[in-house]
Amino acid sequence: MIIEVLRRSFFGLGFSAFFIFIALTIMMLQGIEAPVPIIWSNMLGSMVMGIYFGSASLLFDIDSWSPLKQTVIHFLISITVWLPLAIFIGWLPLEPSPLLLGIGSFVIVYVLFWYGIQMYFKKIAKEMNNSVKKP
Amino acid sequence: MKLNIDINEKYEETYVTIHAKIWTKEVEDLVKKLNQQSLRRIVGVENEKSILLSPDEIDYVYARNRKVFASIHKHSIEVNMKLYELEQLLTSYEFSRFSKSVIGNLHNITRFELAFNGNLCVFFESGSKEYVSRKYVHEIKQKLILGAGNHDN
Repeated sequence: MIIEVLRRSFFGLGFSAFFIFIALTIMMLQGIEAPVPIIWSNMLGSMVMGIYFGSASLLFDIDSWSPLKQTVIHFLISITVWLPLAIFIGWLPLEPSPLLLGIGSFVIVYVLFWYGIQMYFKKIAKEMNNSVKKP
Repeated sequence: MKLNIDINEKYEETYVTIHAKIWTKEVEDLVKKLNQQSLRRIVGVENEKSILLSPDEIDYVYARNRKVFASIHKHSIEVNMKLYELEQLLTSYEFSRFSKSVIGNLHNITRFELAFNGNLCVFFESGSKEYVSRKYVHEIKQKLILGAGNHDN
C-alpha cells in the first residue's frame, strides 16, 4: 500500500516536472523574467498537486465504493487541498469572483469527466446487450 | 453432435476419441469438460444437507465474510470451495469475473444496465442482479462478443 502510494506520487511528480518545464519554456521564449522565489513557490505548488493527484488516484481502486462515491470523495478532497494551496501560492486572489471562477472550473472539469465516462460505459452496456440477446 | 459409445471387453481402459471436421469452440469445450471430469461437481450445503449444483443453474458465485456462496434462482447456497477454485472450474462454463468477490455466468445474463451511481448492473434470467466492476467490463465484453455466435447452437 505504502509502496503503491509512493509509486503513484512519483508518477505525479513526473507530470508536474513536465508541466513546470513547459511553463518555463514558454516564459523563456517570450522573454518573461521572474524572480526565483516566485518560480520556487510555483514549483512547490505544482509538486504538491502532482503528489496529491498521483496518490489520490488510489481512491478509484476502492471496489466497495460506487464510482459516484469515488468521484465525489475525490472531488471534495481535491478541492480542500487545491483551494488553500492556490490562495497561498497566489494562483487565486482572495476575492469573491476569482474564487468562484476557480471553484466553478473545478466543478465543470469533474462534471465533464463524469459525463464522458458514463456515456462510455452506457455505450459498452448497449453493445453487450446486443450480444446477450438470444434468438 | 453424434455420440457413439462402444462397450467391449477388448478395451483395457476407457478412452475417448473426438471426430470433427475442424477445431471449434465446441470441441475445445468438450476437451476441457472431459479433462475436468473429476472436479466438475459443485457441492452446496443447505440445512446441513449436501446438494449437487449444476453450473448451468448458477447465476453467480460470490465470497462474503470468508464464505463462498452460489446464487441459484435468487437463492444463496453455501459452497465449500474457495473462489479461485470455482473460477478455475467454471471458466469452461462461460463464467467470468464480475468483481473481486463475484464470478458470474455469462449464459444466464439477460441484460446490462448502467446505474446512476456509475455501477454496471447485470440482470439474470432468474431476476437476480449483480454488479460488474469497471476493471472486468472489457474482459466480459470480449467473451460475450466472441461467444455470441455459439449461443443455442
